[in-house]
Amino acid sequence: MIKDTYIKGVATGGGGGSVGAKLMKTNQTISFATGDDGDLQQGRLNSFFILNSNSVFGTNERFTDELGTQVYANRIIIDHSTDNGTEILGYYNVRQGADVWADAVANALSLSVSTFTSGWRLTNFKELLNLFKIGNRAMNYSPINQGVGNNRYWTSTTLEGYSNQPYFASNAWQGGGVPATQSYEWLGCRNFTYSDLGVTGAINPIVGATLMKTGQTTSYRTGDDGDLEDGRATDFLTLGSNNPFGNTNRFTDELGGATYTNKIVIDWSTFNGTIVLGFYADNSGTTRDWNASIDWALTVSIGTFTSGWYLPNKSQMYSLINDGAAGQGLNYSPFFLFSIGTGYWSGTTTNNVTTYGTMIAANRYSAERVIKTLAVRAYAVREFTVTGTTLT
Amino acid sequence: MTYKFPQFNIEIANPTITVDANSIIVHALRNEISLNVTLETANAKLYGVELEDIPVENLDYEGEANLMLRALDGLKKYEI
Repeated sequence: MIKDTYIKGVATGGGGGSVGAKLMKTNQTISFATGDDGDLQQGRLNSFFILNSNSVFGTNERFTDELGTQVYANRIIIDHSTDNGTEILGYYNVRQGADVWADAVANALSLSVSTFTSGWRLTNFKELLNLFKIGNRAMNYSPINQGVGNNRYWTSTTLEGYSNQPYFASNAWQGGGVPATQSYEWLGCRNFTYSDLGVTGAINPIVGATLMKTGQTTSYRTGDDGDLEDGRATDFLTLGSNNPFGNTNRFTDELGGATYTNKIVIDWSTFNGTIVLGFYADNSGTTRDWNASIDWALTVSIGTFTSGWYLPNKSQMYSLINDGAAGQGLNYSPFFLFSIGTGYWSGTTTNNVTTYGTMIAANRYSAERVIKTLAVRAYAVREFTVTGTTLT
Repeated sequence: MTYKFPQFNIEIANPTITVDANSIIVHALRNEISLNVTLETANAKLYGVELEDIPVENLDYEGEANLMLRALDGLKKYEI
């Protein structure tokens, strides 16, 4: 079994940190209601394409080729938002397949591109969705260039408890588990060390962070997500190093414990040294349409945290989905301490189509395009400033 | 022109209006159409709105050429 190691970096406002990093922006820039994703534009990076500081190649471009240019002669795309100080995730943007899932996994392992003859793998679902951008088709932008079709792509991730139901995502914002006998296309990726890229020395501040693990720990074949467990942190629930409360729990309440009296869940994987994201895990069972959910989140007031709440964007809400949770993606502690539902609104409008929002379908571990008049549950989220062990 | 929509807590002044030509929905029995429109303000902030139930006289003549006119019709009730 191959295990990825997360290398600790210097905590910066840009993203890299010893515990975590802010989640990326979704790239929604159009607002459809006050307080929605396009209005708030929460997340790391100046924009979907522009880093907060320079990459190892000395520019602020999120994507470059392996030489630091925009030529892409070998169709290799380096995503500098994943730079952890020693390694960066890179993709081969030539669509492969169509293959049944087992062949996609195996063929990815034998991918060879230019001088990079080994180390490739099938993208897991976080690595594939990392490329998804709001607007038009999800991967129809330069340099990913996957076109305007509704192509389906395999990921290396298999839904927990469904041994023959690997996860796919399409270029049109759908995803879910399907029988492994389906023939879909796929993209390969690998970790590029600074040495691979001909870069010596370190950069400061570190410009990005490794993507989180998906949570899958069961392997269904060599080279799949459960085998590689690629990603940041020890596992989905355990940080690679201590949070400010001196433990490695990814999730705690606002006091660093596991009592959750206020139903506030702090996600330390998002801690950049100053700011951390915390969710209000409303368990009232109340369902609302998209606009009412936006309005509700803006008025949430819990304990001393009386303002600053909003409806989580797609990336924030989806980051809670644990592929290692049986039956549904929120079925793990602390969230299963509360009553959990099957669908949760995000503040993101799907593909910039006014009438459709992105709902996180916890029971299908997926983000889905749903008409905004549908009433489902919602969480609220806000940023907490961390001073020592005090959150404000 | 300044617009106020119930879903936004701000007024949108003098926006650049873009109509999504692929978004036209025809309600044939009511002789009405709906459109998706993007409003861009001077500070490059983008707002997306759906303009519903825009009355038209003859659906046979509705097309890309007069979409902007229809969008302006639909925006009228949000003018302040």
